[in-house]
Amino acid sequence: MSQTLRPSLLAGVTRAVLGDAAFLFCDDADDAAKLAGRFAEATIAFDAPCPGRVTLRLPWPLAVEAAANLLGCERDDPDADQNALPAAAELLNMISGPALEAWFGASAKWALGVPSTRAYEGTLPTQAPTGELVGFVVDGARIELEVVETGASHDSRADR
Amino acid sequence: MSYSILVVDDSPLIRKMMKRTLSLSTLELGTVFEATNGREALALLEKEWIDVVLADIHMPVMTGSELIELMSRDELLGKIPVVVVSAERSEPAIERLKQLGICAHLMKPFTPEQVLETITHVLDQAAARSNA
Repeated sequence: MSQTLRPSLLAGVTRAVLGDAAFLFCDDADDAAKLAGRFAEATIAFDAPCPGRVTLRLPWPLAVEAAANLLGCERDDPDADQNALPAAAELLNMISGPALEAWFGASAKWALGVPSTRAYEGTLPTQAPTGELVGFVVDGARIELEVVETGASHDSRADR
Repeated sequence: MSYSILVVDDSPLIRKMMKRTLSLSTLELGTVFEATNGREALALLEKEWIDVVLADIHMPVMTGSELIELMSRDELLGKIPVVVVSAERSEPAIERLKQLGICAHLMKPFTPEQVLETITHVLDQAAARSNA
């Protein structure tokens, strides 16, 4: 492993990807801020020297905006709303690659799984984070990225 | 000369994104074909002229790795350059894909300029091989 996972590393990668790929420009978040309302959540597992999972949570309107920006359509285009969850998954995929590279190093064996997504309504967090959590604000709405180490290799993809 | 590209990905969002990026890349584009997995890609490759394949790895039915392996065993399909498009950055994983026969690896996120550079590079390589 090239270094330990630092929130600053996660924050830097997340800011860069959200800005460059989806034109979502992040400001620092107030740690007390909560997510409330309808959300898009994407989670991807990774197999690595320290296996785990990465989760991205963003308010539904920002997921729709991300989809519109990825597709090059307007926010009110039905395609944007229909692709809100896939956009969250794709952004997570784009963030996870460089984040894991920075964490474990390019020469290490690691592999990303397939992202899963869900939409839900509520208020977060309902409990203290179990891993590294970084938060941002985009247009006044909170976005979160969380990395949780699961501690045991869950598949052999990274060894192939 | 225009080039026909086959985009292989199970996500409609990624296929649309890739088509849009290709259209912004200034590459002289012919038809951009789409397939949702390796099996669909093979069916298209059997009946359409394709210059470059842009493929994801994780797909249902037939993965990108299986597609690349089958293409490399075929005398004609083995000559078509395959570019893997993924977020993978682990060198051992990328090396394994190269051993399977990919010509290049395009890391996400990518710009139209990076797509143009990668496709131009693999087309040049393919032309050099066919002239050798």
